[in-house]
Amino acid sequence: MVMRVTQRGMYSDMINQMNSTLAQLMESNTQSSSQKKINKPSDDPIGTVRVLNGRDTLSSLTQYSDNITMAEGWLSLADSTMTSVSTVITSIKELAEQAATGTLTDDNRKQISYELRELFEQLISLANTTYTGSSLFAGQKTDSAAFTEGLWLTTNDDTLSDVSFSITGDSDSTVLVQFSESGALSTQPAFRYSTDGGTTWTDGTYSATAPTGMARLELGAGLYVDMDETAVVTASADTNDSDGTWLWIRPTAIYQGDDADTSEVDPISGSGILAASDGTFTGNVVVRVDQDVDLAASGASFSYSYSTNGGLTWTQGNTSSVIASGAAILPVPGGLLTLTAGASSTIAAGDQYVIRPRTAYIEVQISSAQSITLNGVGKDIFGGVYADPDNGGTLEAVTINGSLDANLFEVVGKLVGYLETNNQEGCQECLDALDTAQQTILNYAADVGGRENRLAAAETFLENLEATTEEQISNDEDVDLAALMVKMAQQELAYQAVLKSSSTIMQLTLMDYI
Amino acid sequence: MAGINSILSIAQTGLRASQVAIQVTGNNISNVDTEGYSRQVLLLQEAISISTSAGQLGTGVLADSIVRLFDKFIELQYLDKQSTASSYEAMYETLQSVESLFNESNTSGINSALATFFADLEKLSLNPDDSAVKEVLVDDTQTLLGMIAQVDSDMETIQNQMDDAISDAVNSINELAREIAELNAQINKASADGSSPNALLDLRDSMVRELAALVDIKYIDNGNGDITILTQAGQTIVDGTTTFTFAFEQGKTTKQLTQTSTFVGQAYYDGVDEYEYTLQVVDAGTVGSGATFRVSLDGGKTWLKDENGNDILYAADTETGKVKVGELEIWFGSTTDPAAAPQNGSLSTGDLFTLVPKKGIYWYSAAGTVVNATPQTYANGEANTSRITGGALAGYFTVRDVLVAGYRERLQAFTEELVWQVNRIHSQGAGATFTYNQGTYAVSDPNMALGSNASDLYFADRLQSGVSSMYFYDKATGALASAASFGYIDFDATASGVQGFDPSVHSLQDVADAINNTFGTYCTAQIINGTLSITAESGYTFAYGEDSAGLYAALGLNTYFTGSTCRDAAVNTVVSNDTDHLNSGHVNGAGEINSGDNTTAKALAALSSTDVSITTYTGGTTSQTLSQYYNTLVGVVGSDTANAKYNYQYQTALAEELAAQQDAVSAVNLDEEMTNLIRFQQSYQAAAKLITVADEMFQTILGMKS
Repeated sequence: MVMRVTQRGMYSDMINQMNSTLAQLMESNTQSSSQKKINKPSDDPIGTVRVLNGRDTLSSLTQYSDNITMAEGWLSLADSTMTSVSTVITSIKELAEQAATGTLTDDNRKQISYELRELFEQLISLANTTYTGSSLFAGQKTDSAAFTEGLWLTTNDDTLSDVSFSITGDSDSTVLVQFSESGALSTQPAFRYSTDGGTTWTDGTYSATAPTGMARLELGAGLYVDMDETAVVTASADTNDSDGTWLWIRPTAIYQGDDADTSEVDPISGSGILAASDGTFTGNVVVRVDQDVDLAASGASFSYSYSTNGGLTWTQGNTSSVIASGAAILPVPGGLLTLTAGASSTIAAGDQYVIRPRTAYIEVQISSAQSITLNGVGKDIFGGVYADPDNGGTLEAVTINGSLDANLFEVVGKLVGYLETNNQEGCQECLDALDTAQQTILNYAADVGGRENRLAAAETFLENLEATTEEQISNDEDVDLAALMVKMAQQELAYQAVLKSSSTIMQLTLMDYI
Repeated sequence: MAGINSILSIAQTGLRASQVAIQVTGNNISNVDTEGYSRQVLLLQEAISISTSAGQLGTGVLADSIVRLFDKFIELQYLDKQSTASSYEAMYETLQSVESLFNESNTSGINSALATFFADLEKLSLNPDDSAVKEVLVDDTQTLLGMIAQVDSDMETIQNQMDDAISDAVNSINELAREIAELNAQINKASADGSSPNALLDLRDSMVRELAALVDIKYIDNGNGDITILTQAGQTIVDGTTTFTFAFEQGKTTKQLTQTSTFVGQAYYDGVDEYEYTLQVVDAGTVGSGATFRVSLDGGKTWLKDENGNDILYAADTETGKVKVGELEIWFGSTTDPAAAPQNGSLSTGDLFTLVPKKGIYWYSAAGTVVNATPQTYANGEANTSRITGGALAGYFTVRDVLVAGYRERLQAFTEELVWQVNRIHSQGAGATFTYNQGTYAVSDPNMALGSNASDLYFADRLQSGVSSMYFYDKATGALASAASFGYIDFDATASGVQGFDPSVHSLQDVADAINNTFGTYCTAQIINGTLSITAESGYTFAYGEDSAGLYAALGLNTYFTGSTCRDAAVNTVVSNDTDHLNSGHVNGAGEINSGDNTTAKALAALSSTDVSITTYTGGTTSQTLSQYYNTLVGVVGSDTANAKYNYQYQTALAEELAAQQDAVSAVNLDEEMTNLIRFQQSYQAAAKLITVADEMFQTILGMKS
């Protein structure tokens, strides 16, 4: 407190006080108009950072929520598709049972065969279900249909089971081929074919324009089969001689989508060390050997690192050693990398190998740590025939878990073939196999159901998280309106008091009294 | 007669004294509102006494001197506080504008643009081949980059405004110094007869206050009205009637050679930076062969270190081999010609060179030497006390060189990391295949190893040893051209196996040669203007694959962003012209690029939650996500502004307290003056009465005769 009050000091004091009370009132005014405590970063620097981080979290939660909605669309469509497929299979089983009993008239058989073909087409169209224009079961080739209808060959002759063939052309009904002479196809044994289940026969011819090494059997109407000409066929004595070689050309579904079967290790050229990979990888893995290694030195240990994000970050400190057979096995996330000596057996420190898996699954993030697969690989569910890129484009029937019986399209295709040619034994075989195929479908449906459950759980969790985050942001940012109103009333009062007292003092002067 | 005469003269002195007193009071009253006015008081003294028969008789009153009431000690304290308060005031005012660039409380800014960018990437992972989604992503990316460029540009404008403010302040300092020196001369002359030239003193004190607001000062009173004013660091501003000048000009390079050093030459630099670079020779030797130096950005207290904690050593070379250090390129030349070699190029350990690559404050001393007085802050936040540390000048420099420069550095580091991380992932992905692709980052010399300083490749320090693969497709069928049309780029076709890329060995020319050797049938690689360009042979197209070296991202092949700074980062025209080249997928194990493949999009979207490591000189190394890094930057700006505001309010309150104390001593109180007026009026009346009485006495004596 100063002992002597001067005009200069007095006025500057009063102005300061009025200013500071007014400034506080103005700040409360700003807060009440924006409803926020924080109107610029300097109001609360730490709070500002928390609010901004909270907004970022909220934005990503919204995005995960969108992802979950999209995933739900895909999966519920897959779910209902599987249910429909299972129903169709049940209908097919009924038909197959009828056909296997043998008490059918020709007309009955024709009707059943039409129905069966319809059901087969239905299966194909179910397998080609799309969601917003993307195929559900074509792997990552979502812009193309998963399956197309095609023709395949079944034979009763076990010696021909591995023979290579290809079929060109269409046929509305199964074509049955029988040979009247035995011998290698290169000798062109005579054959005849029937397109109406064995009622009428036409003699078949061999085309002269067969590709080298193959024999081309012409089956009329633009349909022909190229077969390996070294295949040996047996003649059938008559129409019902099951000792002869019979060929059924019947429908199947050709898978055109993507697969996730194998993984490559690059480079394929440069023969220093041979590298192979094994396992289920979710993405490319780069493996780097960190020490010089000689694969001929059995037992030598070395360290290596790997990266799952293209070399951005490396996980170091893994060790492996050379096993007696001149190879080394390096475990990485998802599987193994095997290095064997080729033209050379030395690996220099720093050498890198890239494991490049085939990818077919489409995954989306449903939370910061979880992703979910949206689609499926059609051939692993429905079977059919598929040309593996490694095979150079040759079609092969798909085995699911090592069994051809689980291949739905093949089983139903065979059934069509046997039914249209009145082969009761064949129909019985297919009936048994249909159970296995149906099981595969049900297994996949369970998988889809499991994913849907995960989605539901993730969605609930996400909603809770969103609510919590919004609350946190509000705590940091929003102003307590009631408290603010009270504060404003107080500040208004203080301002009025300062104005009143200042004006009273300003009016007092000695000169009034002299 | 002597008695009456002496009564008259006594009355006369009384009258005169009262008159003067009333004049002084009148002066005080008129100047009650004058800023800087110190009230004056008349000192009255008893006149000499003379011996009379009756004893010692006084002879009246003397108006001795008019004294100015002014507390010097309080004033010194006030000047000190005023300097500090002014420096924070300057900082706070400017930081408020900076803060509004980062204020997203009620509007959208970079934070929400970045969140939109990541949200768009998530949408892309849901719809990898939807071109509408890709268009929106490119648009939103350009919005984000535009905002970053704008904020950086606005901050640069603020730094330029600081330059103007500093220039004005320096001119004012020089002007004030001149005026104070003149006043000193006048005061000297006027106080030669012992009287106190109050008005001049008031004027000088108010000028000193103005000066203290601009720069921190030490005020020394030499007596006889002579003063010396220095900065706290010791540079004289005014000494009596002599002035010294400060200049705001481009920094000068100084050198401090050890006693045994025989070096004759100078260090030169290219570029601009807010820090002062101190070079200290570590390995002695000749320029261009073997001599190395280390660099400090804070005057020698801490040295630039690499990630293992060891001092980074740079090679000392002539202009042809100049090295990049921070923002500058540094080399050694002769004393007269930067392009020529030094006259004697042998450097000894411990030779010191200081480069000031910005405009700074220089003090011109009497001896003709020039001293660097630019405010400088050490890495630990302390101010360098041998430079200016207070006043508005220190505030402006702190804002320009420490605060805003630090924010720009962080924003730059953020942008660079965003560009690199996105490019690194995007360049390993695939979308539509290419018939032609041109890299966007250039080297200055295609024959220098890409990982070395001399290649000038911007992202050279992020290259690592690794393998890079390419895939070639038949243009007509879209399938892989052959079983041998893909694989790694082999840098040594003669050795067995594949030799990958090694940044310390391979140059851009080596990369082009390796591509041509490995894939010559399918494409041709050339170097155009220092960048790599790949053209497919007719009938083929190509795509890029796994790249563990980071080569594609560093060369700008198949990238999403071009550029690397806040101002020149942009979406690659290859992508913005044709969004099919926005890679959402990759080349899978079967060599295909499928439309439903969302691997790359998913990896890009995951960037929003991936921790990245960012290092800046001001902020050290942090590991957090990109969004968190930007949010932290906003927090730093807010915190610096809040700090400046708090300090400003606190220091101003202290300064005002002292000013009030000074006012209590030296300002005018009208009640007091009014009372004094009445008092001196009565004294005057009383003295006048004395004359009347003396006159009547005289009349009485005269009346005795007739």
